[in-house]
Amino acid sequence: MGGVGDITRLLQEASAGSRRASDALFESVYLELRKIAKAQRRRWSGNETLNTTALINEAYVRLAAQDLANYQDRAHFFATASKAMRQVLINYAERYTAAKRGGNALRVTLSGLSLQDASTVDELLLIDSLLNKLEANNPRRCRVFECRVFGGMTVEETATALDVSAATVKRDWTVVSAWLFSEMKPLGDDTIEDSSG
Amino acid sequence: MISEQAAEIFLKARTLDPATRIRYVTGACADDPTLLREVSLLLSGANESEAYFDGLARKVSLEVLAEDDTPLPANKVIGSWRLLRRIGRGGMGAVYLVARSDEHFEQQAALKILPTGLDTDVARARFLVERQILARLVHDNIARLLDGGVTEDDVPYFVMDYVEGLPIDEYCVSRRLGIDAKLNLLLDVADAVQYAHRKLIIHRDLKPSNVLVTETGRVRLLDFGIAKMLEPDGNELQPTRMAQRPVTPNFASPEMLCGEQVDVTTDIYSIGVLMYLLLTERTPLCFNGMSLTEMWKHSANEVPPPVSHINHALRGDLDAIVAKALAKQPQERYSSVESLANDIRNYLNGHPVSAKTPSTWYRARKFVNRHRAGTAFSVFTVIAVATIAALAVRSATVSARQTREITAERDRAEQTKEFLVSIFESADPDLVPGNQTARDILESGRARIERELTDQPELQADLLETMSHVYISWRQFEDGQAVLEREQDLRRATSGEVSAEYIDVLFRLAVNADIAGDYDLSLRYVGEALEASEQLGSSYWLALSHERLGRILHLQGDYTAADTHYRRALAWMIEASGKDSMEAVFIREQLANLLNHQERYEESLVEFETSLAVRRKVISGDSSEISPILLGMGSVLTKLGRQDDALRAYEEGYAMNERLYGADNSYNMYFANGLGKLAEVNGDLETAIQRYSEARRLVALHTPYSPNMAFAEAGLARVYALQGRYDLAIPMFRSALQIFTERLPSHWLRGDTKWRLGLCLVETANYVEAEALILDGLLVVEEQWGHDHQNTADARSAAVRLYEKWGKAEMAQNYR
Repeated sequence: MGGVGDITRLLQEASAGSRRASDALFESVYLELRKIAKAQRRRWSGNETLNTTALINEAYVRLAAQDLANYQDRAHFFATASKAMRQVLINYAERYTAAKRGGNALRVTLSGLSLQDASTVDELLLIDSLLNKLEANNPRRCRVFECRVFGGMTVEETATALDVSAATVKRDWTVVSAWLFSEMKPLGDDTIEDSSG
Repeated sequence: MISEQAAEIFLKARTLDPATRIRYVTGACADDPTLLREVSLLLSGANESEAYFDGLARKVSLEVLAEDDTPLPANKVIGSWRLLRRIGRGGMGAVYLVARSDEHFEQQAALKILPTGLDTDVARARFLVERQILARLVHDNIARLLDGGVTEDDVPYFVMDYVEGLPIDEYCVSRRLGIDAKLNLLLDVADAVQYAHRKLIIHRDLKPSNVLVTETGRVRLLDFGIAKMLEPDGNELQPTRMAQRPVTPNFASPEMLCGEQVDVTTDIYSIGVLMYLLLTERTPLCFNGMSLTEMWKHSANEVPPPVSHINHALRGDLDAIVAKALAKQPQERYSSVESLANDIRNYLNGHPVSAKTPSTWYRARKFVNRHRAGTAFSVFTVIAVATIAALAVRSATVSARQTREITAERDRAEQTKEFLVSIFESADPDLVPGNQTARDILESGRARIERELTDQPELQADLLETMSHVYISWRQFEDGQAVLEREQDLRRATSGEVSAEYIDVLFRLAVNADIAGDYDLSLRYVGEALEASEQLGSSYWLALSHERLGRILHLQGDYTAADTHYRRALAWMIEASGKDSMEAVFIREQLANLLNHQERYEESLVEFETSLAVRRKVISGDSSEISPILLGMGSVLTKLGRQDDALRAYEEGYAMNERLYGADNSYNMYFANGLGKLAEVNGDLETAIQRYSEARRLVALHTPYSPNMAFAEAGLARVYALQGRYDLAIPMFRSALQIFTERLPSHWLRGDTKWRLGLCLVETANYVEAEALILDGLLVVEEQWGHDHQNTADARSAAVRLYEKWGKAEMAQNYR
């Protein structure tokens, strides 16, 4: 991991549209999140609590806080971190599933974040694959969902992070939730007539 | 995939009511079946979807601590408090600066509230424990609990003093304090911690940011968020897992860092670190960049340089004091904060300190090390264990305000015992149950004290004192007596008969005599204590002696003598500590209770009201200091015929206790009993049965074989008798009577219970036994209340009923 200045530079370049910078930023944040999560897990043996938001906050403090005076940079950082958080969670979920398949009933704990029941893990994996589909179709909606769910960000924070209005975030959130929800349910059992009748 | 068109139609449709929605959607998608299907799908889950993913976010980020990051709005009103701004937040709650306006002044305070996202059962329990802990702590150097409750949304909060000050280390630096001034601040810290320990509370997180010093130089302890209660009032309110929270490694004891069980000596260690920090401006150990395992090792093995090596102005005695406080093994530290404080005082006064190497302690330790393999237990462990017990019991014996009545003392003793046993179990894994009992261990410890410390009578006496607390807590009269008499001799030789130490041992002798039920002996000891106090000329000890005398006499039913002594106690305590001091208020409450028992209800009510007013000045919300007053008031108001007021007082106190201590707490047995009595007086027999039964259940839960049981059972039996359910009343009366006879033989209710039982037996035609009971009961009641009292008249009418039904009309005549 490079120095603090790197993050600022990467953020600026990423905002300016550099794909390479945005990848590098993501990787830095992802590694940091994993490091924090591991350290927390070791220190508090899973008893203590650190949610995703707190985890991202800590990553922010470690990587960027001193350097990112402006609110928008902070927001951008958080958006990236939310995406990274999604990756951290999915990696855990995949490992959990692999372990389960291997007959090893391992309980995956991530710094007080317990993916205890298999259904949550399955949901996460399904959500991830759906989000990958969405990414191609409407990346902004995908970001909104990441910020809200994996980053624990409010509508306003999300709006600042993504440079859109709060109203847009709200609409995107409504649409993407409804869509994911409908995709996750067994198809064909509910129709508009049923729900209104 | 979602098309933009579908999204638009969906979003618009969401705003419409169901009927129009169908029309709109079918219209908008009229000629596009794919679009219609897309929109329909989106709509099908739209009502739940957002909530679902919100829920998922929470589920994922759980063991959820989605702490609500948005501060509550300024000016929001919670209870009688208005929020000004957020001043802190953490996993355990957000803290706001709040103000309460009143006609005369505006009071600022700190309000701590459980963040909404955090309202899990465990977090809530933990939060309530902190509130309960604060409620118990009323001390000048501890931020006080002012108020507490739940918001309209049922979120618990409490309000405490808002302390403006600097962390103690910054304060010392900014004021450029000298060594003596720093040590004096530490003495204030020690005093507060010691007070908490006496209340059976370990702070566990003492560090500069939790020890503030105000502008005026007053030390205030904050944050009992991870404090531990040794005596959870019978209710296990503290899930052990919650005990863990990241502690600052610099200030945590090695055992705390290792996650082992901690006792009071963990706080002593932290005070040692504070002392080191203030004296040298650095912490004893440095943990920068270490992993947790490295921290453990470092903390357990690394011995910090003596303070005098860093600051050459410091004398060697301070090295010894700091080193003893910072000993790696808990049992090698000071056994109590008090002894640490004494050493600091000794240092300040130029007296020799106890912490010197090589000392007896040192020799004893060597001895223990040598014999560790041979004896499962060491004197040392015994002493450490016993000292903890002493902390628990001392409060009950020395300080009057700690002890509501003998029964409460017994409760505490019982819990102390349990705690001791747990220590014994955890302290030495080699201890084989049945092989050596705790009593054997103490026994051998006692022999060793006699053998090895002959040249140090004061230390011997101190250790015996400690042991005496254990025996008292175990209710081992004989052993206690032997230890106490030995201590008494030593105290006489070392401190003389006119000394606080000597008076103290007399008090403990008296308590021990209470255990054996030998109230005459108890009175004799307290009488001696009184004489010694008079010669000592200490108003404080005089007050305690009179209070103690009053209490014994009160319990025995000698109300007139008790009255005299309580009043003297009150006068002396007012002289010693002031009219509004908690000690004086406590005595006033005792007096109020006595006046109630003497049927001087109006006077009693005045005393209760005075007490309540003083307490309310200090505490505005729920408090363990206030509910007992409400109990007394309920009782008096019942007797004054002010039923509605009585009910209000009882119910307020009952609810307060539930908030403070949770359901089924031990305090509410008194309230349940009072409510039973109130219903009995009102003739609402069904309610009375419910309430008395509840009281009985609670007593069984907390103090099964205590006079409380007799009161509850007698009450229940009286109501059954009134209903003519003699089959239920008789066994209940018998059980109550047995307890009275064994535990409170001279209480007039024993007489009352006797004749009432007798009367039931009359109804079932068991005349011979009934006669003995009624006549005996009548005698007791008459002696207490005099010939003309209603209670006596009631007992007499039982005799009349007996003889009439028995066919001995001429005998009946004698009792009309």
